Amino acid sequence: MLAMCCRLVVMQGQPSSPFSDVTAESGIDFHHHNGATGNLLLPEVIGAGGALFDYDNDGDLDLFAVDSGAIPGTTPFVSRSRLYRNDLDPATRRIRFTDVTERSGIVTTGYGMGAAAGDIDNDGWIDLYVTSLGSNQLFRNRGDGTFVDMTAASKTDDPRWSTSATFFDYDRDGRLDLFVVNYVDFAVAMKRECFSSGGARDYCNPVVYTPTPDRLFHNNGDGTFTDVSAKAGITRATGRGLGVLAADFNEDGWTDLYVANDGDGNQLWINERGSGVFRDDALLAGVAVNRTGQAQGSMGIDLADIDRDGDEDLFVTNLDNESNTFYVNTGKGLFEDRTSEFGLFRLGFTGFGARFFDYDNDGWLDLMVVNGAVRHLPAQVRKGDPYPLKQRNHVLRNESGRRFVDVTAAAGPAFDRLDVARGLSVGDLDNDGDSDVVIFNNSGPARVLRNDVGNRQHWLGVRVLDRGGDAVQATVALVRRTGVPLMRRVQIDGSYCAVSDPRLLFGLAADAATQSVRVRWADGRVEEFRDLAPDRYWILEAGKAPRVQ
Amino acid sequence: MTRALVFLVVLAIGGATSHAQDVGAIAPVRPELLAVPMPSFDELESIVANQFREQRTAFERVATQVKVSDKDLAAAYYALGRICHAYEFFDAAEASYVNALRLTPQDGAALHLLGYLYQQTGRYDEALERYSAARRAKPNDPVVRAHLGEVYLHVNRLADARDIFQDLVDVFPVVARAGLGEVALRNGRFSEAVEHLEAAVARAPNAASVHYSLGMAYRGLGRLEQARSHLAHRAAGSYHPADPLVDSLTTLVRGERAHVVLGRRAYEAGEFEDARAAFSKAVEAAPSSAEARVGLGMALAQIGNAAPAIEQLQAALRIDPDNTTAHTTLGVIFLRLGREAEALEHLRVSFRREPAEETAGPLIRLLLKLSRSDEALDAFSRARSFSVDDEGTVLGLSILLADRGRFRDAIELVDSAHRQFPERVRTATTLARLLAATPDRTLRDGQRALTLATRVYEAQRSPVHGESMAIALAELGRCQEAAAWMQRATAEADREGDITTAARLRAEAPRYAGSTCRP
Repeated sequence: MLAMCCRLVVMQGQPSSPFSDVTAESGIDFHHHNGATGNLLLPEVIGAGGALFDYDNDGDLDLFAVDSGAIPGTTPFVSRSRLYRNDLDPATRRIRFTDVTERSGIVTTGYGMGAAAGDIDNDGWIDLYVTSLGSNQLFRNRGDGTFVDMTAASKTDDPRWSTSATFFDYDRDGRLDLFVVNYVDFAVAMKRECFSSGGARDYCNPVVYTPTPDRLFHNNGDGTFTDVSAKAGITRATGRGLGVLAADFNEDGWTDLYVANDGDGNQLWINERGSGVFRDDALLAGVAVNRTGQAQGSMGIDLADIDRDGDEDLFVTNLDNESNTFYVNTGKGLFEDRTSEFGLFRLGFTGFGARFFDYDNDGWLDLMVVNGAVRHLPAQVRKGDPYPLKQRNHVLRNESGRRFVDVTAAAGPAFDRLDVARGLSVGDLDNDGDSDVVIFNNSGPARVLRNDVGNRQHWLGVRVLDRGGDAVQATVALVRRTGVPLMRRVQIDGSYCAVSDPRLLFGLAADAATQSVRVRWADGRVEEFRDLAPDRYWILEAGKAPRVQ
Repeated sequence: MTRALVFLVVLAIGGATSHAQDVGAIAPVRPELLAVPMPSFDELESIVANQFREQRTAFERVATQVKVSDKDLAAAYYALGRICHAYEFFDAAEASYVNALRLTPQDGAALHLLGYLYQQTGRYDEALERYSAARRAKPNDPVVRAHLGEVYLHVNRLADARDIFQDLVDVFPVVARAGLGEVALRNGRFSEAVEHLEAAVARAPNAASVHYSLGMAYRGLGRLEQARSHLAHRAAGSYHPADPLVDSLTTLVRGERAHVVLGRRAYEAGEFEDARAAFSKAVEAAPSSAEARVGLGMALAQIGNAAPAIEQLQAALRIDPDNTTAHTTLGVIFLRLGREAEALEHLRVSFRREPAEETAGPLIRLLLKLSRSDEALDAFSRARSFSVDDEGTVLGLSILLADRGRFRDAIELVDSAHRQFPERVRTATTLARLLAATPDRTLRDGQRALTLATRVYEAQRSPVHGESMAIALAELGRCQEAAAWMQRATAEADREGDITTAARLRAEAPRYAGSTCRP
């Protein structure tokens, strides 16, 4: 009774829902343009995403939002991808962004889709890759607040329709390589017209277009990259690719790639131990198709240890008539589709961005999925909505690793809204110890949702660095006095066309004690860091004492 | 057209819509009934719009009768529900069926279709409720029980699912065995799963989903080769029970566009006979539809009816002379029939309009066959992407590229083909020789050439493959070994009585004799 009384008192003084929409007050005024001409062209409904990354190394996350603009072959229109600097006041923790696009020198020229971020030259400054329908662009961060377009010099362009991309080090040479996902061979002149069963015009199923192969670029370490796709075997199979995530799926110490394809089987490119060759083993691993053997229209991806058994489980978003799919890792790189068992089977929503994160810092990774249809929704058509693809986003709470429960209704007014969501980036924008969210909407605004509940519990934040940059793919285990360690991996990709905070947050619930973590570096070395006080961010570097951010 | 196809409609159009403004729902006829949110007719295909108008008129004729009986009004709602259901206007169909059931609660057919609608839309608890009621209304109907089993599987009520499927073994053996296998698989009883699923596959060898479950069961047993084989089985085919009530919905579908949607989906699923049937209906509904005729032509071509396929595709081009798919398909059919001039004409048009992989491949193959080297290379250069699935085309192109000094392009092309088809001996041999002896020395990779040549020789011993060994060794500067391999290859040619090769090898042999044998 006493506990209940105190809990109610606490509740009265605090926000009643986990997330508040602070877009306007944060200074984010980005609106995505899809270049719709009324001809219902497929690219209109595919973009776009964005990135959360600390481009100016001031300790807070900045925001890059990708605009699409005019589809090549239609009315000229300049896309306006934007870079916003986070001018966080450490005292008040008020999130305040300033549009620094002009000053930054970033000028995107294509019909934008997504972004990847990583320090390609190990100079300590995070660089940016922007994917497009048409040429992609690589921007090198000069470290003075400006970027230079080094696409041509670096040889990282891909003229195809690229969607997601990721930086990862496949050969463990200490340099980030680049993987670019390509979708279909599209041109306006192809004139594909599609209809609903009743005969009304609608957006096409991508099967009417030819899939195109993905691309792997090896980082030569001198500012240039080499296209090694054919040599690596990546071009051996094509798919209509939309999402990508790099991780060591078979736990052999080498980073693999998982690609979400739209209507084709998903691919799990197993890295043949750094030899430069990859082989697709998605079918045997159990992650190519769903449990009925059907390839799905897959878009977004995330991978994390949601049941605290020490290995990572996989979530893939799909079309509204398919349900998203959740694959449990059963060990040794094998997975099983257990969507229904975990309460995640649901029709009626087309999922794009998705991310596991512990929004309430109870130690269990929850799930957010952002949605938006790709074919007209009858109820919205009847209401005369000019863009009838809008859907609600979802928050699902992890119930002790056994199943997920939909808590959207209690997640805040921001989740009552209907949008056409695509990219989802997650990160602690105000450095207060819980994960905030940025949702990138198609033909709509980017929305900033502040987490108002996570830091009511204790937490531990870590940024893991190697050679000055984020130690992508390093795993960090929080050692617990009882039970198995909490495992997290330094990840900058996944979701859909988006980049998230590379820092790791461990929810500690009521545990206010100092903590220890074990870092497994990319080369396999394990290092323990002890006596980390909670409720702050620590910077961990190999062989160095931890320091507070 | 089967029930499977109805389900494909669902997959194809999930969220099918009308673009028109809402013309308003059909108001509830009685206070206890629901409004039916009808689609607007404005932008529906006219034949479909007329069908809806007629159905609405028929409904209103019944509904406005002064003393309409519950039974008659329920029948009118049921008929309205079926047509809405057939076109995937789920909300309208649901309201209609619910109204029918409020008027006649024991109507087994309405319960059955409403249960099916809920199953299609993922509302499994409601589906269970309706199917259970339908089972009470129609206790001897095995189809309802089969659907119940499917839903129990979906909601992971494995014991209930097992009970249902055990009862159905004699009635629907494939459905029952597949269901029992799936239950066993989820319970981790892999041997039992294999037993049931093998029995199901024996009766339905094309049912891809059963193969998938079987593959997973073999994986669970650690029998990975069998697992891979079944997991990769992508043949189209379903094992669902015949459901006359659901199948009857398909017969309501009218209009070109709906049938084109059906045809495309069936074609993509590899169900070419169903695709042919759907596209035929589309052509019947709209003889001037190029899209319908192209679809019909493609489906006919797939099932080997070349002459009627050509007829349909040519008819399509009379309607739409720029239709790239029609040109490409015609080109490919003519190519197969050896009518090269006609094939070339169509393939050139399609490539000019869309220089993509699907148009480039057949054109380049034909140009190589006709020795039109420059045009073949030009097409290769202009293609936005290019398939390497035809060995002859790849090797022919690589020779042309090398002849013109484009050694890097040649190596990349053959390398890509080799990685895709590592078992192809000619491709591996060509790659080995290019890597060992390409005039641009910066592109050479003697070690890889030797690895490839060794693999080829071990797989297929022949004088020519022995010579590949010598070439690779020479590139590595291992001249003595290279010379020995040349002798060996020559001796083999002699043994085989291949005088020409033996003479050529003898003529080449002196190149390997010295200490600077690198080509």
